Amino acid sequence: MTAAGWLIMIFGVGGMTALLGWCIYKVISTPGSTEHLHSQADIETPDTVDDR
Amino acid sequence: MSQPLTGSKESWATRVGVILAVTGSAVGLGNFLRFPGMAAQYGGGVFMIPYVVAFLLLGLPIAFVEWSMGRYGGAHGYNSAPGVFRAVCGRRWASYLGMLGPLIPVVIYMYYVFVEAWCLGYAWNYVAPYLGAGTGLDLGDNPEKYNAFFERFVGMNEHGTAFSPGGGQALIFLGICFVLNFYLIYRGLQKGIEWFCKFAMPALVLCALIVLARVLTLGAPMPDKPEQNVVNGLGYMWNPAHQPENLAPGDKAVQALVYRSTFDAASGTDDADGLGSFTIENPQAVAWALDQTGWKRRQPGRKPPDTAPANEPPPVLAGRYANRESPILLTIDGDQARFRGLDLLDSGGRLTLDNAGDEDETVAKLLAMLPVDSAGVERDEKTLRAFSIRRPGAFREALGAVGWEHVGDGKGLRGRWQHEESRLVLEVDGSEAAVSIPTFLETLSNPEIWLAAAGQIFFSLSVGFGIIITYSSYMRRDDDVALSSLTAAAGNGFCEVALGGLIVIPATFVFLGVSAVANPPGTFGMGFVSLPSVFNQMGDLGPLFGFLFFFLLFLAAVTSSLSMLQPAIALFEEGLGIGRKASVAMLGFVTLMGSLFVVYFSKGLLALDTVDFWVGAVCIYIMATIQVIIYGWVLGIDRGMKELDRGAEIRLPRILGFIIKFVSPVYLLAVFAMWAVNKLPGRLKAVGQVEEGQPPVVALSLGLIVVVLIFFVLIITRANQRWDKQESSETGVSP
Repeated sequence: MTAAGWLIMIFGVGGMTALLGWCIYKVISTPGSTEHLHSQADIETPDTVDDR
Repeated sequence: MSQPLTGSKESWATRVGVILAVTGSAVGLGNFLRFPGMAAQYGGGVFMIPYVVAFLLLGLPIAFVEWSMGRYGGAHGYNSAPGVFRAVCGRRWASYLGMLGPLIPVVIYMYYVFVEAWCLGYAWNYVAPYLGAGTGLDLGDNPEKYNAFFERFVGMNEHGTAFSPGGGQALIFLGICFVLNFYLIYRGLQKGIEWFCKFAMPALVLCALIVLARVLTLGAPMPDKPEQNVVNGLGYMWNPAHQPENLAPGDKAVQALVYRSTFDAASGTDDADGLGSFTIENPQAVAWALDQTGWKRRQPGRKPPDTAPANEPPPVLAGRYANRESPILLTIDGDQARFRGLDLLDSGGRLTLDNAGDEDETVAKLLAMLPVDSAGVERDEKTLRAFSIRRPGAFREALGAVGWEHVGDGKGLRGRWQHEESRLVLEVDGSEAAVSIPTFLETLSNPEIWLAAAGQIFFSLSVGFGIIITYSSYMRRDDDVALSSLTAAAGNGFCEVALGGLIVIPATFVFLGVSAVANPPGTFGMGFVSLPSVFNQMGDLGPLFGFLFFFLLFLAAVTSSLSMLQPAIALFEEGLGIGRKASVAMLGFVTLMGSLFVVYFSKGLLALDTVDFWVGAVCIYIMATIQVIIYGWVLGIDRGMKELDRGAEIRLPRILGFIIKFVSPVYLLAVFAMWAVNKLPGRLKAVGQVEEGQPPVVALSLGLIVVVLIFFVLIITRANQRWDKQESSETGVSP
């Protein structure tokens, strides 16, 4: 493995880990953020509610 | 409409739950299986350059765009991509720009569910031995056995294998996955998947971290192949280029050849002229490798051994085999070989067969394990059995692929190599060959690597799919899209780069060698052939971790595949005015036909890889381009940034507007134009290239995509009629 390879690996893995860490920090430290954050998994489509 | 998370006081559990739900919702097969395949295909570390650039300049900005565009369309009463485009542009025709919105997730679902079935099947095969249901994946130390297991499992050796009697388990597991997906979506239970994200997602990451720790401590587990070690495996994944200037003369140059070809055994030294000389112990593998990896013989020399003349009907190859000792000794055209690496051999390398006394069966069984089209087996008057094979080229190729060992005169081929700028010239037994090894910049100048990197970013972030645009249309106007999409992207990136990239490629390199990394079994297949060897190295806990990893990956895939169905369901409901259950039933029929197509044309996973390239890379790329142009230039960047800021939990930098309006579209259009000029003609030419006696799978795969596209255009036309009526009744003006 070359020096450039080590650098790319460290920056690639480190960068992604740091970005995820920052996002987690923002979610935890921002009051009320959990009420407005959403993902595909927690969005219930209205048609499923209608069908039940 | 989505339900807000309630509770005036946010507990830690709530916050952690939200983080896990957001990061976990988009994690799937793209992170752990597709990314390593793409990185290996495009040179490892050099792929990371366009990958990171695409993440920052395309993935994140277009994720913001798609979330806010969907929320905007939802506020105007539209849930499907065509409807949202119509709302944003204010034009009827704009809905047709969104036709890829339902097409992409539906077509991707057709093969994604097949890969999902592999995960479930592998999880089952780890528990099967404990339930008395066969040996499953308890295959011992030989990595080739896991390779052979995968090929049999997915039917890689012949089309229609899954449909033949006893043709493998893939069809059974596909059926289970299909029924499970459509049951959940039919009953409207997909929200229960949120539970998975909160509990099983951390388990998957934890399991992956343990597997990663084992991979990084593997060292060089193959005693006879010390060069296959973890550091070299990491080097394949992360080194920016395998270019000559990185290499000292001698064995490193030979390693460079090895990187580009498929033979494993080579030793090199320097001579006084600065030329390296080497001995390769497997001349058949060299000849095959030269042909397969783009080497062109510059001077007519002695024909490489066992190379069939091009464009001539191959002669019938006569052979004999003796079962006098194990392993089987095979003689082909006077050249002797013996088999190893097949799962017929025990840990001592001895052949054990229930019907070992029946030589015909032995040969038939050996041949059945190889991708040989036909073989006749007959008895001769002696104790040896003779056989003939109509396609000796394929047979030799197959022998090489399964690790046959040459036991000829022991001298091997002798040759020299010379370094000519960015070319390595190889001389083998007086015949000279040259291969161009692209430099770092040459590799980066290939537009296809930029297209593929952008496609991978879009695939793993679910951007350009039409999925986010549909789901975000159900959000409230003041729900956050900025921190949500950034957190989802960061979770994806972490799983992909820090876990997928560090586990699968090094593991494949260590156990199966560089040839398996350079020629992965399909875009998704690499993890399936290499990870079982890692689990095998984990002792008694190996089967447990093998089961957990593949089962959790299966669950992650279920969350993704369920979300792929919603965009088309939304369009059916809007366009045809039918209910959810009728929409699900119709979609079930369409996707089932497509999945069966992909499963049937399983030889070399050609249908899967073809559809994955044209839809999973090209169509997603086009859809993302359309979205960012509409957002930046039709909706307008001022309105667009206001939309993004609405309800945002973080303040996005203002430069984002500039990136969305100028940088992303120019980037996307420039790369696409270069790809279209340089690579598209070759891709289109490949459509017409069909191996003799084989079905035109590439053309049929493109036909499948076109048929589905026409289907959705018809639905959009019908939807426009309904939307026109709806608008005219609201405004009192005829459309």
